[in-house]
Amino acid sequence: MIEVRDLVKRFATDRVVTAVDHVSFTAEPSQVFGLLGPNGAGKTTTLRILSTLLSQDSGTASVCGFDVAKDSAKVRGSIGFLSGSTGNYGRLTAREMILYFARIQGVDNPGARTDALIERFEIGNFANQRCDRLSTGMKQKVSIARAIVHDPPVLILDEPTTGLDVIVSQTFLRFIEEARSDGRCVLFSTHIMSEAERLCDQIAIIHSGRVLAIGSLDALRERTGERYLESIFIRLVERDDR
Amino acid sequence: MIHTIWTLLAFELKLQLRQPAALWMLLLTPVLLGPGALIGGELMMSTMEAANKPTIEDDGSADDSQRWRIHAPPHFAEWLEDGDRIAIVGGNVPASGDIGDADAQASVTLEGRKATIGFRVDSSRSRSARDAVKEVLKRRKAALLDERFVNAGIAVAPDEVVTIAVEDHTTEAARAAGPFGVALPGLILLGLAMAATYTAVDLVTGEKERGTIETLLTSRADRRSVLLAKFGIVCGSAIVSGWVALASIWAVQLAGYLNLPTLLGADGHTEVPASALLLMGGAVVLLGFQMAGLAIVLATYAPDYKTASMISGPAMMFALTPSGIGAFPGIELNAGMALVPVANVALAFKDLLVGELGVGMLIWVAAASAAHGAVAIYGAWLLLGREEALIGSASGSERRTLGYYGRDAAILFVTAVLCMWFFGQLAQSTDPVWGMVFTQVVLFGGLAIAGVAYLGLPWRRTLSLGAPSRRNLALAVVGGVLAPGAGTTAMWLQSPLIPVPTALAESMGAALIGDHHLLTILVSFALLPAVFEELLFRGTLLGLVRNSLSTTSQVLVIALLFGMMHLSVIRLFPTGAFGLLATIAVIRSGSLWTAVVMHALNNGILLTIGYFEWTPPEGILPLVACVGAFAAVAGMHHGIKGGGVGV
Repeated sequence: MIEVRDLVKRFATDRVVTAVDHVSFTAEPSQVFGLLGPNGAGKTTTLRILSTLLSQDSGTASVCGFDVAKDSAKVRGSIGFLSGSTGNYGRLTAREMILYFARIQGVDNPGARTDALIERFEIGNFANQRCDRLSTGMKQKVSIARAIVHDPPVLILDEPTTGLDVIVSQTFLRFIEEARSDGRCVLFSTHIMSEAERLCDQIAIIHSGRVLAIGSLDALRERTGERYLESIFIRLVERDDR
Repeated sequence: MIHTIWTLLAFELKLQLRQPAALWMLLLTPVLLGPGALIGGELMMSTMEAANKPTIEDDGSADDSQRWRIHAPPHFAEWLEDGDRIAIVGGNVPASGDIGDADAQASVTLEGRKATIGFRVDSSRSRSARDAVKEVLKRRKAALLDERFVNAGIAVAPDEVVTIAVEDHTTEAARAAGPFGVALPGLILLGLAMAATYTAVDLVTGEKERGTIETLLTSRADRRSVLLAKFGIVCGSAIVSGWVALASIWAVQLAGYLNLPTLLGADGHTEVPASALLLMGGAVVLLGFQMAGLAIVLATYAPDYKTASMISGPAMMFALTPSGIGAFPGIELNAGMALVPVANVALAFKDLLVGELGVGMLIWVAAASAAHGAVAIYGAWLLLGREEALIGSASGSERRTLGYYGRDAAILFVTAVLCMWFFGQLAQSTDPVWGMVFTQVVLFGGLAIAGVAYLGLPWRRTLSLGAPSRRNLALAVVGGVLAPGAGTTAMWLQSPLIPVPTALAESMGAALIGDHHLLTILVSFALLPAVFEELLFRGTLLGLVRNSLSTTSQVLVIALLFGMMHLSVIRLFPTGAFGLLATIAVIRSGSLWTAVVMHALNNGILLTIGYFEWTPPEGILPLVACVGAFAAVAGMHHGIKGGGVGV
């Protein structure tokens, strides 16, 4: 579903920084694949390349069999992208926003799909309010509905719970679990260990642009001898820093 | 794709209509421009009345073959009755001989020893006629000298035989249309540019700041569709704003507060025809294309509102400047000027008001404006595809750490052009020689040195101050001797599109050479530019862009900037052609001195030829120039070796 091979991305800021350094991993359908790493580890850059926002310097990446560099339009049609910094169009109502994205994404019956999503995410009570007047939780629901309006097989979620309170975060985490149950492949980046422990079938620990370890939580425990993901993470990062 | 663009257009339009400030900007600002035009128009009228310009009159006395078509003042008609008229120039201006045509564009009368040429400065045909009459008179003077004096062995100065004077007999209507035609695009552009900027910043920069751009760019809609839809809305806002401004001005006129017909003169302009108004509305569309393109590029480049506000204001003011180009006497809409953004539409407005704009020229202006918009969209598309447009660009200090000084070079160049525009031209018009000394030493030399000093760059490496090898120096001498061929070839190639008016060439030559000693001319117009222009362009600017551009881009960009610095559409390509050679020489030799030698020789040869008034045999010049240009390019590119300097 998602296949990444030797992905490299460099940025020239105050020095040339290799944000993504030969990263490789594979994520399957009905799987939540977690990218775990501190700020600046290269998680966001990797996800932006996979969602065709950025282009890689070398390596290959494909989503649903479509190459991100060569078939970017088909890749975008296959993904639902959402990040913690993604905003809503404040001047549109919740319904208008979902409806417009249904049209942009080429959904067959955009009106019916919008109504279905409004019902599923319990948006009905505030569907006709402008998004800039909604609470954070309401906004997140609208964002999720917007991201899956075209029923994508792959979800790319970049630290989606950043800045959310516990209750809103729970809404989000439940949504990810439902997506897995629906057979979707969810690529999910976070630096919140408890979320990764709860959700991820496979975890890739990233530090300084490189993948330090990949595997299930049990496999990582076995490899490091640590019980908790936080301890596993710290041990791997400290070993890498040395 | 069309369905996607259509959906996006509806989406973006709804977003804009939900923004009251946008509507305010779109409607109220241009509405207020009507009264603004009223006040300006009335002021203009009173100024014109105070000036007591000649009235319009047809003497009606000429026969069919020499019918008088110039709108002449009464005293001019009195001269005609004296029977001293010696020539009337027609539409198809003959180079010499008898002149007579129904479409008279200029005249000449003879009173004693004074010949007076009548023409209209606002008409290119009339100006051509004036030049032709001058040429005829000059030949007649020469003939008189030959026949009456020279052959008799008597030395007589030409002015003792005939004094040639030129008088401007522009009609009042045309005079009024001129400034109003200049003011009108400015009034419309002001609201139009504001609408374009505001909408573009909201739709593009605002999306980045609000974090919504990712939702669009990760949707099925491709970036081209997203950008085209945004361009469509920005363009639409600008055009509506322009139309509202035009309608507002017209409404004020209908209400009786602004009398356009009176403003445009009573003769032949009893009303501004509806067709002219419609065409003006069409011209607004062209302006909308140009301004929307610029606004989209700026908004895409800016990572946030703060940056967008910082760069949009000055950029738009800079873009509006060409709208006043029609105020300069002698600048007309022609095939070359039609390629200049904003200025082309401003000049078209002026011609529309006078009733002189042809369909062919209108189509040419429209095509050029559409091309400007397309280039801008392509630029925005390139920017939108770049990481820094999404995640922010490196700061100035960060860029400089990596050796990227492209922005610093751009700032330095704009500063140099502005200094040249305001101070250099003023100084040179006051005194050509000392003005040139001031321009070269203080402006160009000062800026070149200040730029390197401010950025704290190594002098020798940045300015390429290393000595050239003997081989490269010898080739630079050969290149400098051949270089005039490059400029001449460029001028020859551009002549079908951008001709050099004889009068302009004469006045430029006269201004440079005047009655100065040859040594003074060579030092001030050849040696000083060779040192200080090279120091700025092939030294500082080339050194700054070395890491930011490929070698080919360095050559093209520096040559283009060098051509632009001469502030003349006519001289852009000839000076740019020399700039190509000099830049290639410095890049390949690694030494600024090769360009200094070439520049000094190039200018020196041209000035010496002008000083001794040497005219090459007919037909020989283009051939020699082309051969020289080719040899110079080949010599610079293949002969000079050993470069590789810069920061």
